[in-house]
Amino acid sequence: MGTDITILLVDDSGTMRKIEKMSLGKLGYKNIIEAENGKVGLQKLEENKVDLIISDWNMPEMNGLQFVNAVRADERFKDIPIIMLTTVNTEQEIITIMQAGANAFINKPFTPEKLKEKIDEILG
Amino acid sequence: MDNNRKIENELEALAKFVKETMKELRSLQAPIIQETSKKGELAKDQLQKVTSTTEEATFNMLEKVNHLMDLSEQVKSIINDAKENNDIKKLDEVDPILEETQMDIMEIMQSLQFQDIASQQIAHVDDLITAVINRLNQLSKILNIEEKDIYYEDNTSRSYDPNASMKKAKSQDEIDELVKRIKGNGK
Repeated sequence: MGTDITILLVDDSGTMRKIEKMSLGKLGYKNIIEAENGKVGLQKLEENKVDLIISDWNMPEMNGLQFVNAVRADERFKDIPIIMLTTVNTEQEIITIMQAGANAFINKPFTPEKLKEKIDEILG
Repeated sequence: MDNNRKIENELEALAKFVKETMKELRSLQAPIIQETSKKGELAKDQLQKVTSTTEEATFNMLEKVNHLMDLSEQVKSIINDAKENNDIKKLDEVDPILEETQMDIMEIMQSLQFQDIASQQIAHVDDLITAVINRLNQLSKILNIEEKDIYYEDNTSRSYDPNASMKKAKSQDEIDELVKRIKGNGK
């Protein structure tokens, strides 16, 4: 897959969405959709064809874990790769989110290089 | 029974009542005081974390800005040299400087993530202070200082990680290793 894919960013922090968007832009990814929580994220998935999701964990309304569960439970979205980008980093939490179906896990603060490495790893 | 004896009995009963009441009050207050004290300590620690998070990030950004200013001076000097000596080859020296500039900008972007981390730390402090105020209000009610129930809701506008920090408990390499293990186990 090239850089013309559509990426959905799900994070309640506007600052983080901006930094993620700028980092992705720097890596060549320009088609970015934003959502401030999992609930809005699901709406965006209904409205757009998304190739990759980058999601935070701690969010109001619907958190990252609930969002991953909802995406994986929906036949239309279940194959979309998900990268978790979060401050959370206990072993149990990482196991929980990976078992729920996330494809990669990046800890905040992140570097654009790490983001690129994970995107390349997942999308090939 | 004479009056003195009656008064004596009354005083004894009163002393016993006061003693029992104090005992009850102490047992009611102890968990409240312990809890508020513990939450107060946590809030204090979190505020210290906010200070160090913002300070460290700001320091890193200032260092990078300073470096960027030096780099722009270098570029300016190379361009002037190239112009004065009519030497276009000299401009090749700008390329590595531009690469360094890009790296500095990326590092500034990384440091700017402190805003998200600090706001999670502050949200935690907000919840701790709310809990302390609610417990103190409860105590005021018990002691009849305050007649009505006052209860503040937790801050629900923001979900946060109470352990959010710029300094990671686990490095990304350790996380990658763990994720590899989880995937390897087919979990």
